[in-house]
Amino acid sequence: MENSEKVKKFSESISKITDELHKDVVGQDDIIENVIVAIIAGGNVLLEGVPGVGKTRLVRSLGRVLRLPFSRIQFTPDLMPSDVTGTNVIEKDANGNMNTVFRKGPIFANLVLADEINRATPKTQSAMLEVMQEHKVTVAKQTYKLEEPFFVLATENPIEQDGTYPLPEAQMDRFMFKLVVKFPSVEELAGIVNMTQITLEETAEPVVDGKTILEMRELAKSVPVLDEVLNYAVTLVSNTHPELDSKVPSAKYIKYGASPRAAQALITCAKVRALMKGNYNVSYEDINALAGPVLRHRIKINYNAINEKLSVDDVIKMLIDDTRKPHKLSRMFKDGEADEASEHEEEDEKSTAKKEKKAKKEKLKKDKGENDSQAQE
Amino acid sequence: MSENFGKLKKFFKRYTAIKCAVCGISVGLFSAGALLLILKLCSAEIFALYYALVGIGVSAAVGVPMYFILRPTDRKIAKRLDAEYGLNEKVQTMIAFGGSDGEVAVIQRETTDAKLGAVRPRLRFTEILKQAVAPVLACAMLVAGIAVPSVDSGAGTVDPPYEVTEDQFAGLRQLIKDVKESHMEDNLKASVASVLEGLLETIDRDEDDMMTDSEMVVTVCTAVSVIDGLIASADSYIVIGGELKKSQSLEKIALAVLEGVTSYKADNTRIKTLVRVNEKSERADADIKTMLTESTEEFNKQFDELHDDGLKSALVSLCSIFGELLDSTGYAEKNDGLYKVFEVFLADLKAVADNVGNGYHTSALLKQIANAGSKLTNDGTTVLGVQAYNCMMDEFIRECLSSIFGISLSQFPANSDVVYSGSDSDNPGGPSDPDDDKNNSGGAGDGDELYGSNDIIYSPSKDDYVQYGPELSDYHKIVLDHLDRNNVPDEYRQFITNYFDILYGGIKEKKN
Repeated sequence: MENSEKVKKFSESISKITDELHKDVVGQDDIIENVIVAIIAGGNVLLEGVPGVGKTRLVRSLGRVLRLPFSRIQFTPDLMPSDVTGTNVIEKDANGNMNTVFRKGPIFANLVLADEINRATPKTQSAMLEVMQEHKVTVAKQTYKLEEPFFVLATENPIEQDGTYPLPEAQMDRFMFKLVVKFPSVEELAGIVNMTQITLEETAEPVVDGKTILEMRELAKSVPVLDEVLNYAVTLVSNTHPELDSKVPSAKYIKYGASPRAAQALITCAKVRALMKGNYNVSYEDINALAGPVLRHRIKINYNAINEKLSVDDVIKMLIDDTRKPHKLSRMFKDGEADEASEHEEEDEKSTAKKEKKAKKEKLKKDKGENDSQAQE
Repeated sequence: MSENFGKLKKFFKRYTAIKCAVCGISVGLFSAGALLLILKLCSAEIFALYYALVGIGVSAAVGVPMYFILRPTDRKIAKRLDAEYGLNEKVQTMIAFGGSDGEVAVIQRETTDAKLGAVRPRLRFTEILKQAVAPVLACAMLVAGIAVPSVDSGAGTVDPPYEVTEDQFAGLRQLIKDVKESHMEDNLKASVASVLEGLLETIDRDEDDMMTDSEMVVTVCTAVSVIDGLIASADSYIVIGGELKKSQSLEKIALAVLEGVTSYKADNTRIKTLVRVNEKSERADADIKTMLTESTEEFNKQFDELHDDGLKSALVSLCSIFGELLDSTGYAEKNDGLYKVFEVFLADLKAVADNVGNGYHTSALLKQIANAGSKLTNDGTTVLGVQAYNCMMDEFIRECLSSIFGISLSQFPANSDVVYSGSDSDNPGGPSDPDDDKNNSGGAGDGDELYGSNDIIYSPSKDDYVQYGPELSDYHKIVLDHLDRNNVPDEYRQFITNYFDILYGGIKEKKN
């Protein structure tokens, strides 16, 4: 297939997926976009949000749109690891012989919804570790490969902490993104209410399949990354470690920094994001946009930040600013254009934010108009 | 490389070259202007071409390396384009992955190139404004350098009062004492001492009547000038030697006279003490004797091949010229020692001429000539030794006054200016003919003809700075008046008269 056709197909697929998802999920454009990025990049996503904001609905719709075998695991404190991975059972065959047969668990799907993952015990949570990272299950010394593409989309409720088991660092690191699903705005809420008055069923249609996702993944891998951008991403991750020499002022708010998987995730996802935005190269903007989702669950803020009422997202923002400043200086001494570059970057970000806000409003109006017309019908 | 990028690269290269040229030229102009301004403020000057060379040199030294530092590489241009046009590292990626065959890289290059096709490079107003600062500053500096007038080193300078210290008084008194203890002839010694005492009186003033720096310099220089004149009037070696040099036969003797007196200068040492004067005087006497001896021996040789009529003829001819030259020195009536020595020498030669053909053998006649020469040597050494001593004393007095008052020797009037200014090639060193109109310096006359230099001096009577010429004329009248009223001791009258004679070459009648 010609390169341009692949790219065209990529863009079309993304549009279709997004459009279909918006049929079932009102608003949450950033969440939808980031989830798509993670899926194409081949990563797992942790969705955190209060009940009722559409986390589960989103994942279910995603399963329909991607035409992928979908399974849901509701994590409870009494859930056992074998309930997730599957187990060997003894069965009598037709001849009356007793044989050991492996019964696959719900993990054996392409898209797994791990609902309220923080409710399960650490033992059960650890069963997910191998699955999420290596996409295989080992039961009784037997390893079963999971079919690609494989994703785990987990959800957790930040409110109820009683009876929950915070995910261990190792497992948190296996999530490519942690996305915070915010409470919808008034307009979005109105849209949700209007939509659900009509039907509670998901109406999204399948538009792509697993093979397409894999093709999209391969295409995204070939997006070129400038050395400076790569160094910027790596420096950003490195600056989360206060014990290193190159510590920046914002590192004083961090107790533990991000692992190397964060740098890998940044670059992989930035490539996908660039392609989704119609760009054919990774830019600083892509890295900055993905820094939050990639880092917020990988770094631990310390008492200094808590004392100053800084959230982990605030610290990540400061980290970005601190990483850009020396970057600005080095560019200034090399090229003398740093001020212009930073001005343009800021202008760019402002104009992008304005455009996105405008697009959101228009979309809401459009959705509202459609729902009204449907309601009338 | 993409075509559109290539066009943009050319634009930026051109822009950088122009920027570096403007900067280089600005720095060059600034340097030339600064150099001009500094030299003007220091009252110094250099050849105008040097300013241009400095400007060109600095321009090249700044502009060329600047271009090599700032010359835009592909990376720099790409970065600039991405920054200016918000291309999100597209151009930089295109350049970095220019050789890549990756699926997306190829599309990336194509789409970026298409975007670059729509780019119209422009120079922002702020950038143009920044570039204009350097040339404006450079032009301002150059204009300042041209417009600012030269600072006259003397003009407007503060002329503070000159406070004479006790050490200076003591130094001057010591000098007067040294002069009185010297071996100069009594009249001359008294005259010089009198001048120095006059100087001492002049500088001894009350606090509210102190002289300024420049007045002090003028006063001391005047005293030096008078002393030079007094000593020069007592020394006749230059005039007599100068006249005798006109005769080929007497040239060697004349040179011995002239060089003998100044032979003490050969060791290039300065005379700062009276002891040194005496030391040098002894050596000078020996040198003078040697030179006179050698010159008279040379003189005698011209007669060695002659005898009888030839000898007589040569002697008569020589004596005739010798006599004319001696007469033209003007010392006939002046009782000058050196004149008398040569007068005796002339008489001896005439006697030898008379003896030719009167029974004297040629060898005896030559012996008589030799004896005359020996006599000339002995007597001449004594007289010239005195004149050499006077010259050394003059130098000694100058050194002392320079040291006491902190005035450099170069500020004092030159010795030759005082005595022999106005002498031309026909009268080298001689006092001018009173009727000789060519003597037009070293003095002044009122009326239509101005004698003397137009140097500016301080006039105590007028309490102002005036030209030397007219002032000297007034001074001469005052001096003559005092001479007429017998207010001046006899022993000083001659010196004063000689002084003005030398300056004027005789007193001119006022032309109405």
